Amino acid sequence: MQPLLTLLQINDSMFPIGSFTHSYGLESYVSQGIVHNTPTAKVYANNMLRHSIYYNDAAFLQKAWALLEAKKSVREFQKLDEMITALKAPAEIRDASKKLAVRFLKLTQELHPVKRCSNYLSKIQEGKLHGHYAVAFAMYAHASGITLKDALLAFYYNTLNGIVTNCAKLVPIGQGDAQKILFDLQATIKQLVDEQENMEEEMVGLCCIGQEIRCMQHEKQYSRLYIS
Amino acid sequence: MLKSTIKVNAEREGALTLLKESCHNAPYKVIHYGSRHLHEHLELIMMSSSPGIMDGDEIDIEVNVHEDARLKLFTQSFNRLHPMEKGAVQRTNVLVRKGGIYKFIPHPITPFANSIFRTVNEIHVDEHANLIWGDIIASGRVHSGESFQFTRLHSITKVYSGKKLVLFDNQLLEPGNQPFDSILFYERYTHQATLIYVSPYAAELKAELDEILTAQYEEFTFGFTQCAPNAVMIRALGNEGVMLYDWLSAMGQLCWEFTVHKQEEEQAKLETEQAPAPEAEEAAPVAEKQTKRSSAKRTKKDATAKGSAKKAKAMPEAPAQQDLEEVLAEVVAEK
Repeated sequence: MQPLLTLLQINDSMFPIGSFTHSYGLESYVSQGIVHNTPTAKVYANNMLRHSIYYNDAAFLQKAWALLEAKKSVREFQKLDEMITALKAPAEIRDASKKLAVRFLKLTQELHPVKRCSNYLSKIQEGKLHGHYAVAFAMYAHASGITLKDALLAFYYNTLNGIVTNCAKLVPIGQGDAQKILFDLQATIKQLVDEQENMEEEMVGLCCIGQEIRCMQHEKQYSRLYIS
Repeated sequence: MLKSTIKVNAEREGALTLLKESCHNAPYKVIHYGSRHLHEHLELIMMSSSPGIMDGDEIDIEVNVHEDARLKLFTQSFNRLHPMEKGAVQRTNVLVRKGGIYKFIPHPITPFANSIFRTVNEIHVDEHANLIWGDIIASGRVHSGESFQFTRLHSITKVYSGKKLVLFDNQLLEPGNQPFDSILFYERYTHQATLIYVSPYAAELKAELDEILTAQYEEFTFGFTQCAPNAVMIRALGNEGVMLYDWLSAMGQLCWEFTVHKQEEEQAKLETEQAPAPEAEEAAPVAEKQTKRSSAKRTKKDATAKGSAKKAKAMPEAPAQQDLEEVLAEVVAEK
């Protein structure tokens, strides 16, 4: 198994786990005219990386990685899974994390079975664990010989790629402008990855109140293209 | 620099909830809110002789709501955080036992310039208990032009149902490091509000809210969600602390009325099931006895769940006998 090729494959936005069906609240921002052009799309993308992903999904990935490195027991993973579930208050966001996790685990199992991943999948299917994509991604990447830094860089990149692709479709902004945002935020991603492991315990899971409200409002949005 | 402790124990005796073994020290005081004979449930108000929370203050609050007890705890005024160098801490531990209901929606926290505050709430709720918990945070003394000038405000709330962590709200507000007027944060608003309802009836309440909260208000923006199988969360952003406080209190009162109604409905059902099947000639007296004991309950039982939620009376300080929709409309119209 080639670590870099595996990372490129599982992190591809076309990897069929359904990530393109979620906007994580962006659809509400666009429909309310808050994100309405390239500059506001860039502000949204930058704030998402720095203030939401960094303290949440990327932090969960790093926490899961630390448990894997320390060969921690199933109980510790259960606690992490429970904590992430409790932090993801908006129902659509919590469900998105679960759906992506389940599809990711099913698909990777067919490519190259990993015992920890199969166990996680069966616990989710039995209803004993909720299931979260960041944890599933960490488990498979860890087993594939990918480094934490690369896994995090790729995770941030693909999250941002999802954001700019959604902005191109929804706002809409030009494909060139979308790629420019993706390129311009490289330094931000590098900085966040470098700082990821030094995060204080109580900073994990910080909430952005505005984003949470927009994600909740999406449940009631009259016309919508995305699941979240 | 003060170390204060507040302890409240609410216990059920017969139909009443009584205050037992409570203690508090200066500058805090917990007393009955109005006459203790007005309600079967317990209403308390937390008062303070201090102008607010000062540098180095440590406040420990412990609230125990025992089996089937019903407690509403009120605050007297806005919680002002004064300028600080070291910071102040507030730790709250809450335990709500089986069948208990605890409602706490305090006035907004107003952090003055350079204030530093950390508040940690750890709440344990029995799987068959009910929690109605609110918090509102202002950006500062907005009308004096002091907005987002505090240093740091960290609010951590963990709710456990049974032994499971079901809700974790981790909010760090640090104006030096966060773009508060930007997307994802407060946007153009100055206040945030959150209401949490943890209850075995949460999914049913959510279905009611789906029918009641169908439109947005002009003055503030809000969203609500089922944040766990047994919990509902409402969050809002607005510009008026009092307006958000009134609205959140009205929503909290709706949760209270809904819970009481559901509990009484279950109790009535249980009584009917447990009552021995009467012989034909004894049927009339038994029915009469039941009617006497639960005449109030019967009235509610006849109402539909939807009707009950909609007719939830406004909180005591708001005009009585108005239905919730009117109160909500008034709250918005007044501003």
